[in-house]
Amino acid sequence: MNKDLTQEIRIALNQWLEAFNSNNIESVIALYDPEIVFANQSNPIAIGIPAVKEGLIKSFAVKPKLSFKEEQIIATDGLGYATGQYKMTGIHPQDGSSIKGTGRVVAIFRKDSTGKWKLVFDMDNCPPDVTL
Amino acid sequence: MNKNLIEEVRNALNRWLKAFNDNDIEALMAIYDPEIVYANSAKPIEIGIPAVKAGFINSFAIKPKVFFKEEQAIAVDGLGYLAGQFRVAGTHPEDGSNVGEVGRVVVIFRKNDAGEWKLVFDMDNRPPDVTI
Repeated sequence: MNKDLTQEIRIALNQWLEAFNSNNIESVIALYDPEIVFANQSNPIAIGIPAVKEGLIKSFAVKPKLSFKEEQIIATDGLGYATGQYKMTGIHPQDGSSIKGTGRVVAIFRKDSTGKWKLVFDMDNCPPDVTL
Repeated sequence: MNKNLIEEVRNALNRWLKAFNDNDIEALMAIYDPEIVYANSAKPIEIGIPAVKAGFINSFAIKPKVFFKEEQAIAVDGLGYLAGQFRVAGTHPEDGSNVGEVGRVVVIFRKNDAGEWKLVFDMDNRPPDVTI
């Protein structure tokens, strides 16, 4: 395993988490590959940046914050991924109550022609062993 | 995008599908990377070939057949993946009734030192838009 490349994937994912947790839609979207596929467990598949952006704008209504615990990371020159557990918290926009969701996720990154890692595939599920 | 590498990954998945549909546990296990992570949506994560093998021996009780419809394929030298919809159909071992499920899956293959593509990550979920 190439540790430098896996570290690059961690940095790319951390950049995504920071942008997401800032609820900054343009910063988040800047980290996506044009061929992004978002395979969410609860919604129809979203393909391409416009579709993903529309979903993110809706999800930002709860001012979400995400935390991540890595379980596997593998990278080669040009493609890499991280998988692990996630916890999302937020605030219901109407009654101010707390919202929490947990699950497992895989985020696959592809390096673009300028050498930047971009998120190209994102899938999550909700198995019974998540402890976050 | 390297079409030859994508075709190599498709061939690896087709070998996996044949071994699974033959319910041939040894042929199936020969396709796995030693660091396999199986992130099923309905059970705890399985890490390593012995854990995955035990799970498949159980699942073969219904003599399952799986069908796959590709939605995304990306590969570079050393790492590649396919995402798409799946349908599993089988027969209940006690009453002979039909059993099955549908969902979305991503499978990531890594090329080993011998140049063989091995399955290193497998995750699925059950979104509402699966039509297979």
